[in-house]
Amino acid sequence: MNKVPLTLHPGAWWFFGLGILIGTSQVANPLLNLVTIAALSFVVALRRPLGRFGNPFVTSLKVGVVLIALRLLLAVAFGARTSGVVLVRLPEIVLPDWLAGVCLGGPVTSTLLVQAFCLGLSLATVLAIFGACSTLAPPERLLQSLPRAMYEVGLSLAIALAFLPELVASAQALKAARRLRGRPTNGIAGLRGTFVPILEGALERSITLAASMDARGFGRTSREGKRLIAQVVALCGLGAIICGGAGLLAGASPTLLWAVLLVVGTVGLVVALHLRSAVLLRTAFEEQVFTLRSLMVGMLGAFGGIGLLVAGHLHPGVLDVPAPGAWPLATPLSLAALFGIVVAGLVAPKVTS
Amino acid sequence: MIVFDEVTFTYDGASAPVFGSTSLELGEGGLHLVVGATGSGKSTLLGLCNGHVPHFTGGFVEGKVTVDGKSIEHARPRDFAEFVGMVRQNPRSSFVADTVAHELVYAMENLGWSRAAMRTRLDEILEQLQLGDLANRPLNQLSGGQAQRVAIGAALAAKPRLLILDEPTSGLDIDTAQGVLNLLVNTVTNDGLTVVLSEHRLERVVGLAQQVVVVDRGVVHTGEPSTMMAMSPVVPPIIDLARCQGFAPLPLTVDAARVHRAVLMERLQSHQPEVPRVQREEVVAEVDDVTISYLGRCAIKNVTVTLHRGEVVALVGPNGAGKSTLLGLLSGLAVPTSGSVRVDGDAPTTLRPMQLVKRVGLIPQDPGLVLYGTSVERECSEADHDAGREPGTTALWFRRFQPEVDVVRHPRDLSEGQRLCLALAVIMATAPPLILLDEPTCGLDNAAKEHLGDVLTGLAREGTSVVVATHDVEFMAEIADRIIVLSNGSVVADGPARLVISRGDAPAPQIFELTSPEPWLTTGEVLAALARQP
Repeated sequence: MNKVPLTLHPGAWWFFGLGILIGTSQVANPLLNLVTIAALSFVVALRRPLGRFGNPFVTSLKVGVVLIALRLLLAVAFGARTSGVVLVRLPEIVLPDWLAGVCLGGPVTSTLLVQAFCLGLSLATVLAIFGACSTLAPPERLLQSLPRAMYEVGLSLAIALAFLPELVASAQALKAARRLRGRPTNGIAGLRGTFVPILEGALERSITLAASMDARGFGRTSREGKRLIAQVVALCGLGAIICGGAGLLAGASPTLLWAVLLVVGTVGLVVALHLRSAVLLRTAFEEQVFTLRSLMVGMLGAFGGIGLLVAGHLHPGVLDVPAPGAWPLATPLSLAALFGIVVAGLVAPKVTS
Repeated sequence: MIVFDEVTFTYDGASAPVFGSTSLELGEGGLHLVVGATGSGKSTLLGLCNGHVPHFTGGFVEGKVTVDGKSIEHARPRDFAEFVGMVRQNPRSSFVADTVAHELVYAMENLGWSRAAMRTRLDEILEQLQLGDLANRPLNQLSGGQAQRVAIGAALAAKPRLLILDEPTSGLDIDTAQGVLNLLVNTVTNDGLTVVLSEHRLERVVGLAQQVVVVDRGVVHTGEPSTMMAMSPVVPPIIDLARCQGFAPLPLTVDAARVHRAVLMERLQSHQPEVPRVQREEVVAEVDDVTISYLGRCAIKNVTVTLHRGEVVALVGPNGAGKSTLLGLLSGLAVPTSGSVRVDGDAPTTLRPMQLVKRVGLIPQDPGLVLYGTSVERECSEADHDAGREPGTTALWFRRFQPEVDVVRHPRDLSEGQRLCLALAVIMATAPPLILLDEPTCGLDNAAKEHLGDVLTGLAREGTSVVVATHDVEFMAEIADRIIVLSNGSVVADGPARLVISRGDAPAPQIFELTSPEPWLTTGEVLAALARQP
């Protein structure tokens, strides 16, 4: 008997990620950010579904390092003059009047570098959260748990996502092939002439995929007529929402009319979705239940994020870039909040492969 | 079950129809084999059986194709989903899901099966296709044979009554291919399923078929296997021999041909197969005690091979034995973990691309990968430019390989065989002393294979060293002077082709199966010997 492995609802990890993001987006303290990344690494190492779709977390860390380097470089080149220990004095270029406020070169101070590093690191942390989420719960899995009526939308997104690794693979194959023909494989010259074959390959593959899906009954409906009705209702609903929303935002009177339009449009959309799922034959093999564990993992993320905010409220400054010359500090509460990440990793079930 | 009523099919923009006023009826049950040369319209014929043609390919259908009583004119492939299961060439490109289980249930999901029914059926399919322990395996981690079994399982899952397969065993090694075919035969006998399949390597399937459909230059014939094989433009070696020798009734398999063995062997008694002499003097490439380990697994281990000028070497062994890795090693794409590789005196990984291609040329399994031009003409002139040769060098090679191809055509529009020859011409522009080919016969029909064999042996006699990695036993027997057998990354046999085959280290071609222990390998050499008789 084949048993489907015990897994979390894919949404759980994404709720978890969003929760942490609430707090982390406010954090510039490098100590806290490094602890966050370390905790995420622990969770990923512990609960990664084995051997699927590479490891976006590692990629996100690499991109993070590049971001920090870029940030430092920009700070050195265009950084505002700040006080602090001058490390190097670069030749300063005087810019014309119409570029007032922008400096090029000049003294590079320790404060400038620390500030740039901290801000770069907080960006890298946000990126690492997304990387961790897509490793722990591949986005295509998340899309699969969309409501039935939105299945087609989810599927087109999933195919688009699946194309990225495909493109990388075909680019690598082409690079090897260029070497076989004695052509340069690097630089601009190496890029030339690979673009069209890659796109051709991708297009061909998408047609094969469409044919394969169709042959296995994709898009089979029970009643053709209702499908049209559903589309018309959805379109009208969307129109009403746009008009109502625009009216409300613009503050045009009568406000009541716009509000009613907004409500009617929303109802229309819901009805359309319902009609659509009645027409589709499709059933789902895997029931994705939002279990208690899924709820706990999601809540732990929110706990972490909100905990950080509270810590920042109680001890102003703990989330910020440390003062010049001072070491970054962490309060027990902020560390406890981040410990929530580790706990989430322990709570989540082990993914068997 | 499938009825073609006076069907003429023409692709958009084509001047002539693929086949004209064809009437044919495939009844329920049994295995129906579709036979024909490359480009004869086999795939088109199969595609018409669920409306894939013309709904996805375009084209114009005259007459009427009826499947399960429904005309394909109005019904789309999805409307046949519960009746027809379709397995197309290259199973990997048809996968829609992420894991084996999700791929297998896909059709059932679309057809609205209940969850309980899906689960039961999934278990049945996993067991039937021996995929039990792979249910949660990601699809991109499957071997070739596993991928093919999953593709067949996915097509069978929603219990269709008709299964259509387009070359299901191309690209699979001998044992794996046999496994897939046995499975199909079992499904036909146990479940009463109707199977329609096309296949280039007829020797594998012709003995199993109930009915054969021959597609030959726009005309379709149907009939019993033996009558069809008597007239088919493509036949396996044993039937070729039987036809030339007038064996009657026509044997379809080696076993059936054994009744004629005694007479044949008597006539061959005073003869020896003619073996071309190969001078093994000048060394072109040396692989010395090379191991490549990757993530703790050895792709090849302690391999030592020396290649000489002017010999044709066949590299055989099951999927994953390390054939492609060895080719990669010789062409500088794979880096040895230990040991050394020398091609024409230098280690290939240290050479710049331009220097490398003057020493070794590799044609990957998909020759299209090394072609970028928008026409044959431009491809050739670019290759001249890349190689720093006089304009016209590549074109000259190509004309030698394929004298009749229109040079303004796009490489994509050429047949598999023609495209391979174009890639070969491009590689030969730099006149490397060593050329490597990875599975060149996938998708080639017998005529194209024979032509490629002639081209390669021709190049070898002029002094080029040729290495061909292949699963195709008959092709191996036709061209190889020497056979290297790889298994699990190690060389298990290396020697003159006839010796390696007669010792049973390499798989035996049909003619050897018949004549063994006498070392005859191909129909050609048997017929040549018989013709020499007074």
